[in-house]
Amino acid sequence: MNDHDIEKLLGDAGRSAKKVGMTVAEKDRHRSRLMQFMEKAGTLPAPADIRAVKPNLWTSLLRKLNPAYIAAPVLVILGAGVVYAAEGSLPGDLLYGLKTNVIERVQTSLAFSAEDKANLNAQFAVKRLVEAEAVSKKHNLDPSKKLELSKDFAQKKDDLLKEIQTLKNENKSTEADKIYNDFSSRLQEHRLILTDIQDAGNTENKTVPNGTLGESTTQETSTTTRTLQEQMASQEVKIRYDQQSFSPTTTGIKTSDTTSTTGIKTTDFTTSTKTGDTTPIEIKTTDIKTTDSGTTVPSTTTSDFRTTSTAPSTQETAVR
Amino acid sequence: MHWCNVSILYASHMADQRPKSIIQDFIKTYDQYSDKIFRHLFFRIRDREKALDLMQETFTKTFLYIKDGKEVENLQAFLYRVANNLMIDDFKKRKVYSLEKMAEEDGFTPSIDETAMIQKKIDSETVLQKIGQIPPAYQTVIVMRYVDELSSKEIAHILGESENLVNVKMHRGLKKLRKILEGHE
Repeated sequence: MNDHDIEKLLGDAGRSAKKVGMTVAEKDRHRSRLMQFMEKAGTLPAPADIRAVKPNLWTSLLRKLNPAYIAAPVLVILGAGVVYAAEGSLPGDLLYGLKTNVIERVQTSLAFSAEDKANLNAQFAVKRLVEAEAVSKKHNLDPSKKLELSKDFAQKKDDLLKEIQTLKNENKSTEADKIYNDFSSRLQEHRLILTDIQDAGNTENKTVPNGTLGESTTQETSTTTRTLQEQMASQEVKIRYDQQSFSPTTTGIKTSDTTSTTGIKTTDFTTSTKTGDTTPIEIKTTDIKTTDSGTTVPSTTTSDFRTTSTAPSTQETAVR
Repeated sequence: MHWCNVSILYASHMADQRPKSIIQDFIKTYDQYSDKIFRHLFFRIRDREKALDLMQETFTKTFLYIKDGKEVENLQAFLYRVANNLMIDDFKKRKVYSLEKMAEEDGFTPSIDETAMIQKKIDSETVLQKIGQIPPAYQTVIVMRYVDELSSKEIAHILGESENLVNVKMHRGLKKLRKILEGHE
């Protein structure tokens, strides 16, 4: 046997060794083990990373004090001054976009749990409304600002609803409900400004979700979401009616009862004109035919409202 | 100046997505190299379960290394190196009883019947078996050369040795193996 023979033998041996391998089951088993290992290891913060905020005593203390503790590494990069300036900015300011689009998003993305993320989004959404109120006080709330605010409000609210859904999926309904309840009570406080900016958003841009009803989140099926939407919807309707009571088109109209059974009935309309520039509404009598049996059947219900461009429907009258 | 800072922030925001893609990339690495690493380990230690364990450990160790942001220029070479180091550690751990065990299980001392057989029939399986009887340093290069089909250059890179030294080891290893196969040793 010479060197050539042994090399040939080994060559053959190597080729037959190719048949040796893991079975499919073995490969899959170790593959999923590796996957598990990586997911576990991958979620831990890497040492050289910006997210390297290991939960030691200091950070856990900070976390309890303020959920914005996670902005700390951001502060270092951005410089405290710029972030501080952006923090107090209002729509129209130079740094406002930086605040809503960058700082807040980074803050949210740095939050560890869905609960923290939800809380942050709720906080930011309410912040938009507070800002709207602040701008409105300065009589500076123009349609473009309203649009900007309502867009970001919708964005943060959508994110919040997603996190609430995540919490529900994690079987943390209690936390989800708490966040939702807190959020809706905060909305209650700011509902006037909310309607204001959202009406602007709707007329300016059709893509902005209608009112507080997040159309972009229609996939959301959680009961929380639905209740939230229903509640917001009813709120909106209520506010609409409140506003209508001050508009000339639906000036308070009282209809007297037509209770008598015989003869021609006159319908008495009293008009209250809160806006003095409209002439009093003249109501023509309504013809009522009396049948032999004495029941009243109104033949026509047309009333002539000279001063109104759109006559309120009978249902609307009934509401008042 | 603001925009510069903004881009840094966006970059850090993007860093959030990174672990996911590392995991996906690394699963591809596993799919591509796990068989090779397993085969190498198997022909070195001749223990299927042990080879599977060490193969798994090779990939988890390598993943941790990459995850920490360290650079790996040649992934295949790196995996072989990790596997080899794990094997060396493992050998050291069980060195005390390994010689006896090998004699029992693998027939470290060839029986007379077997020696006679070798004269007649030297097939590939026998050759692979006998590789286990030459010194480990020679085994490594021979398995890498003939089973893993790596070039001398690649082997040198994996072992961190010169190509010349690898060739010397290869030559000596082949000589030893030949002697064993011919029944001289």
